[in-house]
Amino acid sequence: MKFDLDNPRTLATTAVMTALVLGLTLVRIAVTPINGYVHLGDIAIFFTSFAFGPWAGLVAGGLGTGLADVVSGYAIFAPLSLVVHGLQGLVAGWIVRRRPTSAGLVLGVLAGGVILVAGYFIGEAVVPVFGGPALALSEVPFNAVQAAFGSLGAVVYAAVARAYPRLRQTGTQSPPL
Amino acid sequence: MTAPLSFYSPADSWLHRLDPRPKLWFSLLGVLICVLTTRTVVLIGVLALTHAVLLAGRQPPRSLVRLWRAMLPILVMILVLQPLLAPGEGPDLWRVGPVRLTEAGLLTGLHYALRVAAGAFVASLPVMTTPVNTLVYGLHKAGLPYSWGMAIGLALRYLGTVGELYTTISEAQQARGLSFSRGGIVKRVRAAAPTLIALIIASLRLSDSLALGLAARGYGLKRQRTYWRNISMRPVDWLAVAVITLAFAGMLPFLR
Repeated sequence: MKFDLDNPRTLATTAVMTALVLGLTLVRIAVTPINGYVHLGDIAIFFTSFAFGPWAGLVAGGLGTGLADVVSGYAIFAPLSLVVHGLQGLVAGWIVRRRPTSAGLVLGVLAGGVILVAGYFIGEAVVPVFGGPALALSEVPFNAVQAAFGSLGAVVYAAVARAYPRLRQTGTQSPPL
Repeated sequence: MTAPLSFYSPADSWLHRLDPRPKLWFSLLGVLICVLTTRTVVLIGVLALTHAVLLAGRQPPRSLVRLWRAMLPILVMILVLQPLLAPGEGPDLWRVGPVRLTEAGLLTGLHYALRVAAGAFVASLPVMTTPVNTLVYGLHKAGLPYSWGMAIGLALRYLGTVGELYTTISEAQQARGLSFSRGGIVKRVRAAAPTLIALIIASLRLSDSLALGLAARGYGLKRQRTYWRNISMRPVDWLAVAVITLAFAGMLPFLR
């Protein structure tokens, strides 16, 4: 199915998945006492990419996390999140569309995770308004943990596909599991 | 999902009544200035200007403090790490082994932190002074395709609904003995899984009914649109655009 936001079905799925990414990005689960937390947003991004294809992953990932930045006071980082998480969703979805197998899912979360860590690092180090090299370096370990946590998206996708078989009918490109 | 869902604070002022487009224009130019400049003075200028505009627009000072507080962890991180990571030239103020602290390093840290702070305030001005719906409408009027605006608007609209679903599901599961706040990291993450899966399935059902609702209203059938509530640029809005453009253009010679 072509990705066309003028189609009510596509718009509804994309918008609700964006809301899900946005909401789950705002839920923080503390892992260390100081400033250390992970959020569930990346799991939702990977889920969207796998269930509804790369373009839905791009919109839900980029827009969802960008809006999360805007509503939590980090509006200046919204363009960076938009690009990084958008690419993450796009590439992960594209890989799984090409390789609709369990191996494809693993490859998808791996590639997405690398984009997440590298994207924030390069963006913050290169574009001065995003904090500079020191901040970029200090965020690498946090983003690596976040990416590892986000890779659970593959497991969550498999679990949802099993518990809710309709996903494979409504989803545009769902790998058989 | 208890995070503050918006930085918007309603007030009756010229700034709040202004068309969203001049405010977005202010953000765009302001962020550009913050990206292009290499001088700390310009960043302080942009920061001061944005504070002045917000306060003159009767924006409650409380909300400015809230934004500073949200930015604080990042600013502290930059102020501490940047001088240690790239000390730069000059005599040491302090030294332990290879770690040194110089005046140049401190100034660079301050520069980077101010850049983030200035960028954050400039970028947040439209969000702080305009309801989100009006802002999305303004983006559409500035050229964003209708369906994209629709996606943004619906996502923000359904954030609340998804949040309610999350609360309902996690309360139901906690009532059955699930705990998110006990045990190590692995245990906490595992506790999140059943909630998450139920939440995703509930969201998929939600999108089914949303798709039906959109289709029933003929969404996507006719590309030409009419509007119930329209916004248009008044003379004062054009004046604001002119003033903003002149103010930032005036900063151009001092950027480097």
